[in-house]
Amino acid sequence: MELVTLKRFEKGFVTAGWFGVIGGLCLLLLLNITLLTNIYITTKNLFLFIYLTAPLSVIALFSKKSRSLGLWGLSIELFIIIFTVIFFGLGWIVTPFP
Amino acid sequence: MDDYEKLIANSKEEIANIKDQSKFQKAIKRTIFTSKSKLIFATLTMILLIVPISFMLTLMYYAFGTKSTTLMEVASKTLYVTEPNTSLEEIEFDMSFTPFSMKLAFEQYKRIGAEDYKANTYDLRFFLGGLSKKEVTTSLERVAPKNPTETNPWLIHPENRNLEMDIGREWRVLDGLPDETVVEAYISFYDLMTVKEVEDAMPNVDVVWAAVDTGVEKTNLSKDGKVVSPIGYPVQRDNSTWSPFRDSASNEEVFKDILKTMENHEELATAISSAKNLALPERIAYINKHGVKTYGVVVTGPKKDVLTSLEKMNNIVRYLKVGEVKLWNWSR
Repeated sequence: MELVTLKRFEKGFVTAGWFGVIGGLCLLLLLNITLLTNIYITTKNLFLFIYLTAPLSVIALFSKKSRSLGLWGLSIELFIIIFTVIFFGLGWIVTPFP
Repeated sequence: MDDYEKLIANSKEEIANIKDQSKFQKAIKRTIFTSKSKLIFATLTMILLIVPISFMLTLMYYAFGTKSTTLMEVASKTLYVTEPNTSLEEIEFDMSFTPFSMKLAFEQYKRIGAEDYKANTYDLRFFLGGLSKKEVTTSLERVAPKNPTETNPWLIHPENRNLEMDIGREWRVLDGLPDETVVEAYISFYDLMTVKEVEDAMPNVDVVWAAVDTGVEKTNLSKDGKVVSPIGYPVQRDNSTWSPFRDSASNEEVFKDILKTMENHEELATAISSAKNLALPERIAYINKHGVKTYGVVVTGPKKDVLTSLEKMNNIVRYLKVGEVKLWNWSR
């Protein structure tokens, strides 16, 4: 019974997975633009994307068909989070000014 | 079953087959489409990861490899000892990073009279640990020769006979300046002196920078025949937060320490300075053996005081070069 309901939602899971990946890519693109131009596109947008894409990717994890998409989206977000942590962490060491 | 029924049954089967096939084809098409889009998105992901990853590697390099702070320190210290009468405001250093490179921009100041004036704007680009581009925009009116040769420094060693300077002209220029001005003057002596002796001899003006005899100034050539430029150190107490001379008991000792720091990064220091060569090991050995003695200083003060001090020291002062001139700002 559960399997049947899951199958019914499968299309939804796949779509969620794709949205997760695309959202993650948009985040990466934003990050690239910020790094290359030194223009900080307001961080609010960035968080909005993270809030949006992370749950979508998590949803995608529930179905076997969309699991790879979910993992893909989540790893992009994980990368961005690790990047942010390293960026700010090393920023303190590299730039000695307040 | 008659023929007619057979025909009907056959065609029904065929139709069903065709339906199945088109379903099958649709499924194949969908799978191809999905894998194609997956490939495209995977490529996109890889491409978009290039910049952040190289950025992260760059930051790691500047944090744990050749440290950005070391580069900044070498740049700042080099300029203090190779550019006469200059200081930096390190808090105003502008540091930014692009993949595998670092940009360092800052301004250099000159004491003229009692105030600091902006002298140069530096824009240094480092590719990892090496200097890849240096741009200096000067705001000075009298700029020291861009390409140093053995005959064109403004401060001249007593034993250096190879001269281009028109000394009579410099005296006339200083004499002709209005009394309401403050000047910066480059003074060379007949003999080597200690900085203390120079300061005592010129009580009414500020001795701001002293060029140190390092054994190569007689010819301005190092042992291996390369052109070198004067080095020296700021004489006045400097209490600005980021100055290497802050809170030092003796600027002379700080000067020696700076030379040692520069020696460890000599290639970089040479690239940053306007000198062609620094020949540091040779000069450090000379200073350690003979001590710190000066052959020329940069002074600043009201024109009248500079002129009278120089006239009083006529038997000591060998050459004079007038540097920057500004309107009165002396408040003592």
